[in-house]
Amino acid sequence: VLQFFPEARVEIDAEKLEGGIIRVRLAGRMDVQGTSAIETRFTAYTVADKGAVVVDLSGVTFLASIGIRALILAAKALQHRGGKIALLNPDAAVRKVLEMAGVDSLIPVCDSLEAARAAVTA
Amino acid sequence: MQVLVVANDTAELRRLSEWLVSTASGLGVPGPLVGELEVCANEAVMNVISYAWEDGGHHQIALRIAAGDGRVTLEIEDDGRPYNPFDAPEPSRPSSLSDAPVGGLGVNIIRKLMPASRYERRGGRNVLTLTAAIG
Repeated sequence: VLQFFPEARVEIDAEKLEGGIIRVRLAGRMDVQGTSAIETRFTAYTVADKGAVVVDLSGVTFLASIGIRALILAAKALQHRGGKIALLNPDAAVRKVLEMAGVDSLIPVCDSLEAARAAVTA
Repeated sequence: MQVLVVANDTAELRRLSEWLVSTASGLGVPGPLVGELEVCANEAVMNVISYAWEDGGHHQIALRIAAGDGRVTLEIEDDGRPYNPFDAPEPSRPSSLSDAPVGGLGVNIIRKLMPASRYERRGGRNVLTLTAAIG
């Protein structure tokens, strides 16, 4: 299911892990172009009822507020449906932007898949 | 001082980023700070593109970067209507996901990453100066 958008220098894929958890992997630049390229697919991967979604950010090299907006909207939509979302392994720069935007107090930011799994199934 | 002029089009943000990263690195700005400058410049220019002009016509945004005396400074200038991004009150930290705003994040990121940044109206133009200490 890997989708690469060369023009936008961003990619997205999703897989179902043990326990029904969905891992969505984002990689590349989550700026205006990157986020618009993957937004529809990202929404489609994260709408499951009572879904437990882990968004793997380890490959994200740049995160702008438009990308953060997409993460918050997905988390809000999931919460309405009784689901949960966690963010996994952002690099130091991306983590700092998440903290500055106050996202870390709203969506768990985890350093390991085990921690992310626990956060979305708790 | 090095200068870049971009059009009021989000497709220009990539070119802006590439110029900023190579120019700031060339001026000796350390990597992590280059990254923060890139984020803040993207947010600031995105705001200018969104709010400065009501006519939707073709306009230019000028960026000037300089480093010295232990600081890096990036000026972003446009000829749009007066618009001070820091006029909006700083929102309180949302206590829950349902209360969390999905707008205004960009200005907040600038406030937090580069608190010494300032806005002025200069000769009928908006000038936003992003600045941070090097090292």
